Amino acid sequence: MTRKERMAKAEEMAGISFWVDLRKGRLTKYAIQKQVKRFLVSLFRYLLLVCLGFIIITPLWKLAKDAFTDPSVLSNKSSIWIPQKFSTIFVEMAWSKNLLNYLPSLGYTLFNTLVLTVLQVLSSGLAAYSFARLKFKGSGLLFGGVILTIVVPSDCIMLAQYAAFLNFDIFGIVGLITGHGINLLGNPLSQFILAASGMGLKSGLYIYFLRQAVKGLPISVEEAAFVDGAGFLRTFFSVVVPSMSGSILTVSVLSFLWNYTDTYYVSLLNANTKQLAYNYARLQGNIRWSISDALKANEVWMSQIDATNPYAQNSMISACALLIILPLFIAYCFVQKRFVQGAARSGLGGD
Amino acid sequence: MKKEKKAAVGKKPSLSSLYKRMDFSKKTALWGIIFLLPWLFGLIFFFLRPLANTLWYSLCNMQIVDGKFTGTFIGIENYKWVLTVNPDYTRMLGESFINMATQVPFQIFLSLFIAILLNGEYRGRGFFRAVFVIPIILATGIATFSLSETSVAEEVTESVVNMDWLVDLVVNSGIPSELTSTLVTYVNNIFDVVTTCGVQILLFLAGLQAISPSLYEVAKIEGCTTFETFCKITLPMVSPTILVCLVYSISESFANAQVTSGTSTVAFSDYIHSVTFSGASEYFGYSAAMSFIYFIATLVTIGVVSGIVSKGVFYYD
Repeated sequence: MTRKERMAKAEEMAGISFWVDLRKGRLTKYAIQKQVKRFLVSLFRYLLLVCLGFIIITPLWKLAKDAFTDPSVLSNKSSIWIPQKFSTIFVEMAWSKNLLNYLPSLGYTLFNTLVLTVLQVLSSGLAAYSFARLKFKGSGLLFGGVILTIVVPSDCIMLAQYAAFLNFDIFGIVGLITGHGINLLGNPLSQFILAASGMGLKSGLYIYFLRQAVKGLPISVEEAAFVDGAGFLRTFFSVVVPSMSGSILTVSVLSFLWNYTDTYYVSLLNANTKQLAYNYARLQGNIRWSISDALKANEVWMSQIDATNPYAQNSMISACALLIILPLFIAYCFVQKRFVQGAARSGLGGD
Repeated sequence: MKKEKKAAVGKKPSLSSLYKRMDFSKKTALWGIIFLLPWLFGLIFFFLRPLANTLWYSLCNMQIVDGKFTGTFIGIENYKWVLTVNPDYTRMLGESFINMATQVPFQIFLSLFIAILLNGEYRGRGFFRAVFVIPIILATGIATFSLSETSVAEEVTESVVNMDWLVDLVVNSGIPSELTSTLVTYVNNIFDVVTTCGVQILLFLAGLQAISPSLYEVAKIEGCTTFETFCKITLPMVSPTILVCLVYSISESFANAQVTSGTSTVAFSDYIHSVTFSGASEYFGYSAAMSFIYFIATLVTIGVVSGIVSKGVFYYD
């Protein structure tokens, strides 16, 4: 055996990290031990990840399975993971006017969510930059306010916020002209105002994240911008924002996700069946009547589905849920890689 | 001409010249406030004022007159009703405390554990990282649902994995039943816990990535075992993240607390919601008192816990 062959064989068995042993051309007990340990660790890791991943994926899989089952085999429990007979009838029904009214609702919801996300990220970003770099007297105290907005359950101020938008009036200006405030309930503007003023859904959390991210940037770049004569706004938008684009992406994705699935602020301020998540929450309570409405409109469905059948109701709800989370998954697939990287690379974590 | 102009400016300084004469630190402070203005506006009008209003409502008997809220001051009457007359409230509050105390430590442990698993170099980590962000979507409750006919719903939705044989095995193994019952609840709840861990996993992953690899290198050269490395490097370095996660988890756990009401479980916030809009406007003050007690309980818990934990937190710089 030549030296080269010996090296190759040893490399194969022990891995290149033990080159000290390899150079001597022997396989020690230590090297083998190390190799076995490494194998066990990775086995253990995959085992756990697969098991936990299974827990996460299962409900989604079951959702899809229920949604695509043919009405005739609904009560048959012999198939657990794949539908016994495939059919898209429930999805078609969920798509239809009487249930989700999918396309118009999706357009409305996506538009609202996008506006909310942009406003929220902008207001949180500005506040975060101010907290991280543009310190003034009392800014530490105000940051306590951010923590307070994270900590206080939004239900606590629910009623008072409701009242504020029922009779919307800042500084009494509107009241001077018309005698009473504007009723902004049922108007998407109410949610936009909340988001733009940094009080939207979990805004405090985003301010916290972005502040960490700004703190992690080297200050010298901003100083260079100031020396070169850039103003504060310009420094923020053309130096700070591009250099923390990763964390901004992370925050935007989170904001989009949460605003899209939010039912709390929607039901409080802009209760509207065009909002998918709200409509979904509403459907859960009276799915039977919605199904029978949909059935009246289509005779083919009428002959196949019984609105009082709990299995049919279950499948119906599953199909609705599936349709609602589908756009999220499509969008998530596109940003997935950058999203996780951005979260990891930014100063989102440790102080 | 030029001289005259300068003199005029000197006499009556315009806003822009005033700004130009400021030194840099003052400008910074000014822009700091300008950048903060939208948020400050929101803080005052949509947070502090509603919070103060909630406090005021809770001390009042509320009525709606001509679409406007008006209240007559009745002191702590509402609080008395909530705490001593209402049969459910104190029990529900206690229940949400117990839920928090049993779930949050498990959550923190599990999310740190998962983050460590996800963190290393291995094949397919992009895929696994993507999978473990899904709980953020699931936690919004969009994929889990309850049907109106509860008895039927139980029959339809089987548990994710059938663990009855495992439970039997553990219960009959002769270990004290208190211990096994806790264990069984943890195992049964693992789905709920994992779905609420999304943000925490993300935070921990970011925290782990921020640890400098040179620290691990030093530890390796000095001959630390993996366990020692974990205790002496990983744990102290992620301890600030642990604090953040704790605060986040506790506030989330209170906000989404599930309590039993009659025969079914409802979210505590939904209970308050249902009391608020249950018809008569007298309930407004009453539910405001409920919310305020809830808020104080959350704040005190977070204050106490973070006060204790922050003693053990290590800051690198």
